[in-house]
Amino acid sequence: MEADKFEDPTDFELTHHVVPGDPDRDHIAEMAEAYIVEFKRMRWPDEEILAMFRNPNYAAPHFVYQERGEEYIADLLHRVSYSQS
Amino acid sequence: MPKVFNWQLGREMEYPYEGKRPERQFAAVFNINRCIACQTCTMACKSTWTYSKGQEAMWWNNVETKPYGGYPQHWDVKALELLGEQPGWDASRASEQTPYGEDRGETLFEAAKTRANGSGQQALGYLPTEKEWRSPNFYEDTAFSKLTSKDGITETGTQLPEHKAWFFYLARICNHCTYPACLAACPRGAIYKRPEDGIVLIDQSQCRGYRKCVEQCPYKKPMFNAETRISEKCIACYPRVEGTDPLTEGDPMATRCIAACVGKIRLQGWIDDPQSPVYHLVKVAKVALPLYPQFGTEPNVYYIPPRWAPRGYLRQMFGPGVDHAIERYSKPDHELLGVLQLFGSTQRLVYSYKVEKDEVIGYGKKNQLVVRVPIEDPVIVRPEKHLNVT
Ligand code: SF4
Ligand code: SF4
Repeated sequence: MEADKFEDPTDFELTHHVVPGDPDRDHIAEMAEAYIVEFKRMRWPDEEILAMFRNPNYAAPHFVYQERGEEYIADLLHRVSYSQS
Repeated sequence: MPKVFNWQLGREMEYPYEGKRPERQFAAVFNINRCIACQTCTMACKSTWTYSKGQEAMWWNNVETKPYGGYPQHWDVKALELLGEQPGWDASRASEQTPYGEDRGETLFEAAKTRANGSGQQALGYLPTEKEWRSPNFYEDTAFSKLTSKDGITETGTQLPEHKAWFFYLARICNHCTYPACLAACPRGAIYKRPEDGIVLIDQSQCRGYRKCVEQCPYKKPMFNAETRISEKCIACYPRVEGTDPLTEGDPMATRCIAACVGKIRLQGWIDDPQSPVYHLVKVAKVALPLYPQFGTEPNVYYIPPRWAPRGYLRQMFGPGVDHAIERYSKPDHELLGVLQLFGSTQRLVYSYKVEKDEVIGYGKKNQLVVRVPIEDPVIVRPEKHLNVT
């Protein structure tokens, strides 16, 4: 097949460097925690938040789900809660 | 060049026109901590304003993944490179009116005076290539596995091979800047800022498609329509802001992208009205910050920075207010919690609010009640040893 004259295949290659995070922080865990705090604040039930993490259409939460697993998310959901004496 | 006062820089700066603030200035706050990149905002805008021939690659609202993503590609890295390394703000000069201190650097307008090389640029800029406009969601959901169903959903989801250390989503529209570079750039004077609400518009009958606005807006929000051969940009859904949408019978409404946001990350208001919840977030609690204030346009979309991203990166993007904003946002007081509950709570524009013990009440233009939202207690994270194991 003739090569596509209009699409440069290198367009979609990764050409960047990783911008390092802070070595003493777990940025991905902090991100997952922030999402849970925000969605709990909007009064989403735990099951729905977990479903969002499971859903591949929500790339950031799903990324954590893939990287760390369901148990990790479930544990975070358990730990992040409203302060009720 | 006349001198105008830019509060984000904490100093006067040069701008081609005399400073004249509108009666009220359109503004919005986007809370990055909540954005899940569902792109509902992007589609709400597209299906309202840019669905015609010639607008195919035009996304007045876009959501890009930082640090790699950008629409057009690398827009911010290129603008920062043009500006060159800058000394930043002198925090010791912070005051009530100048919360970030005084900027000691050069804006894009000031840099153009010495570095525009006879190009006639009013603000240092560049024209993105067609290729750079082509992929608005580049470096986000790079699909890697086979599609398992016709609707494009994959079995294992999409992957973000582009940046595993950290990332966040930056939702962007035109900033309806107080000192718009697009307006300064237009040789035909086709761009104007409305005195009644500060919304920046391109007069389609005056524009001849020179693309100077595309070149000199550092945020790259004016876009060229190859079909009509004139430029277009976000219009802040002005018919809704004016209250001419039949749905609310004359009551002003938030823009389509703001009203449609699934993550409820957006709130619209007026930056210069102390009654507006947006004023509270930006000027009182100081949790919401301008995007690249060093460019000098005094942008009016403000961001609550993502708590999880490296501070150095956030400081170059949102200026010196980042540390205070994250501290304050992480431990919100009762009033801040109340204002945060107003995000995404109504399609109507909230002009003022009252925070009570258990709820926050939002009022509209005629001081009428438009929304009541309960306030929850702050969310806390239990240390592992205190887990409630049942
Ligand atoms: S963001 Fe760009 S297009 Fe919008 S007002 Fe500012 S300079 Fe003009
Ligand atoms: S609709 Fe809201 S949550 Fe979804 S991508 Fe847009 S800004 Fe983010």
